[in-house]
Amino acid sequence: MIEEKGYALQIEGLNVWIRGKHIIKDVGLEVPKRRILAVMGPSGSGKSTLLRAINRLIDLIPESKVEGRILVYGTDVYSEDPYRVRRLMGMVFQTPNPFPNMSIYENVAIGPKLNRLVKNRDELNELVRWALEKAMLWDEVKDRLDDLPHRLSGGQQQRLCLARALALKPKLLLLDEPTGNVDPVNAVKIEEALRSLLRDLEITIVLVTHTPHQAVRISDYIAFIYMGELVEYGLTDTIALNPRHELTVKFLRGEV
Amino acid sequence: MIPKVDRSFFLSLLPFAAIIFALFALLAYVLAYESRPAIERFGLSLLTENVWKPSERGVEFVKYGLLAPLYGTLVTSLIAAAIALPLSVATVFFMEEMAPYRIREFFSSVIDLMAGLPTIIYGLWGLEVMIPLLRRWVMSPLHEHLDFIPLFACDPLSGASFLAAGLLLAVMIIPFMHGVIKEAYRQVPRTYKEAALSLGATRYEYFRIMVSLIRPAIIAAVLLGLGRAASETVAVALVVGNAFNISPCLFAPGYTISSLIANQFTEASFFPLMENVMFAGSLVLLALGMLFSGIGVVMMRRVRELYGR
Ligand SMILES: Nc1ncnc2c1ncn2[C@@H]1O[C@H](COP(=O)(O)OP(=O)(O)OP(=O)(O)O)[C@@H](O)[C@H]1O
Ligand SMILES: [Mg+2]
Repeated sequence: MIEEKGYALQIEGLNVWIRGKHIIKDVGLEVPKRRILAVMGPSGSGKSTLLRAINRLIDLIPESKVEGRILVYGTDVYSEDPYRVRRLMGMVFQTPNPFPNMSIYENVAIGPKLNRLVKNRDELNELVRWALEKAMLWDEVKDRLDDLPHRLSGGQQQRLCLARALALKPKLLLLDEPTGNVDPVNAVKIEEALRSLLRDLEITIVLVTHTPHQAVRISDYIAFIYMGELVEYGLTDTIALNPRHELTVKFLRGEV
Repeated sequence: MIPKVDRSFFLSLLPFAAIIFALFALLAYVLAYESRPAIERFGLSLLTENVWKPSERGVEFVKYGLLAPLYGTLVTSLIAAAIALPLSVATVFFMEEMAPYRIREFFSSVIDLMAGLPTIIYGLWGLEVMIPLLRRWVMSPLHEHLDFIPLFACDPLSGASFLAAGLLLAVMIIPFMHGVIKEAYRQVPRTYKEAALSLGATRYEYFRIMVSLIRPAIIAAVLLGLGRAASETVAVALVVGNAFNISPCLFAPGYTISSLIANQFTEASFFPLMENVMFAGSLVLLALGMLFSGIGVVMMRRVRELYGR
């Protein structure tokens, strides 16, 4: 496939320090377009920090330092305006965080509005509907788009956050344990949504997950991080069948 | 229900809480009681007419109407809030988002300190420093070049005026409003800030989202600030000009209810009903203050509900 040629995400020699503490240690990896990378590792190993380095939310953390290079669809993340590179990406966070003062509709519409993706109200309505459908939430909220999000269940809120991110039509979608704080039914819905995204869109996904099963089920590549080091990286099938590193073995068995 | 062990402790505190409420009730009662003769005599015209005719000859010769001080109170408070609001919001955003940590903490403390300074200091500063500068560099030029606009139409005689009082009040309520807005701003969980930025918001767009997240607190800050401004006394009395004057011109001298009371109360006992009129004025202040604070407190509660702490 011609699509395979360019990489969606390239990370070279990435090092991150926060308050002098070395959090990400010399990480390098490449993800082809339209693939899912699952990032795994024990708590505190630096998974969230890695995502924040990719979309430069790390800039918010005082006394943080980043070295190395990150390319997203060919754009060097650290030599552009942060807000411009962030527009290439969408992010869903560990705990659902829809804006509490905005309606369900507004939560999805805010991104396209900020980025001037639409020309008029109709286009915006269309885009909001599209994003909610892609996040598999449309049917549940179509009659109450003007409600505030706190009425939704946690899992619905997380799918709302997914829709909010998708409405920007990001090329790279960063998900930080999106199913970690969500019930199993919602978790399955989110997984389904991700798979169908990959089928229909030009999008690449980086998914931080704690569940080996989830990683094996939906990812094409697995990166295993331990204490900030990339200890194992490769095709999911290869790693699941034949993990080289003993920590990966333990983690896949659920022992770490 | 309160657990048994705590009940006696609770009961022992009850009298103290009760004293506070009783004091407040007593205060309101005294105000109402003392205002009554004035209200009975002048009725609503106390609020709708601008007259100040004291006389030592007897009750039938006096006539009072508080419209001018009422007008002055509203105008100066509104000027103050209109100036203080953008400045406090901008300062909070700048300090919390752009200033390095140490600088932020230092200036935050300085601003908090300013809120606690004795207000007479502000008054003297306003009289000696602010008014001459204001008169020379703002009022006179505006009057010379733009005197066809009613706001600037009158000659800034001494400089003591609605504008001077409004500006001084702005300076005085900024620390207070800044404090209210800052507390709310710090309550907004970081995850919303990250969400906003992850959507590609520029600094300005991010600022707008943050403002929308703390909107109830901003409304609260304005109302509480208005309440403060309306009740400020000595400092205003020094810079407002103390004239029974209703004028759209910002450079004209005026009065506020608080400064009127401060200025005239010592002599009020020589004139029939004057004291009672002043009590009526403070009753109006009390009502306004309670209204503003009430709404303000409700707004603050909304913030706390949204971001729970
Ligand atoms: N804002 C911050 N300030 C200081 N240290 C931080 C900050 N964010 C992360 N760290 C540190 O970086 C390390 C990695 O944290 P990170 O959140 O990336 O781990 P994680 O792999 O996402 O863990 P989890 O699975 O629990 O989410 C931790 O040791 C953490 O203490
Ligand atoms: Mg994490």
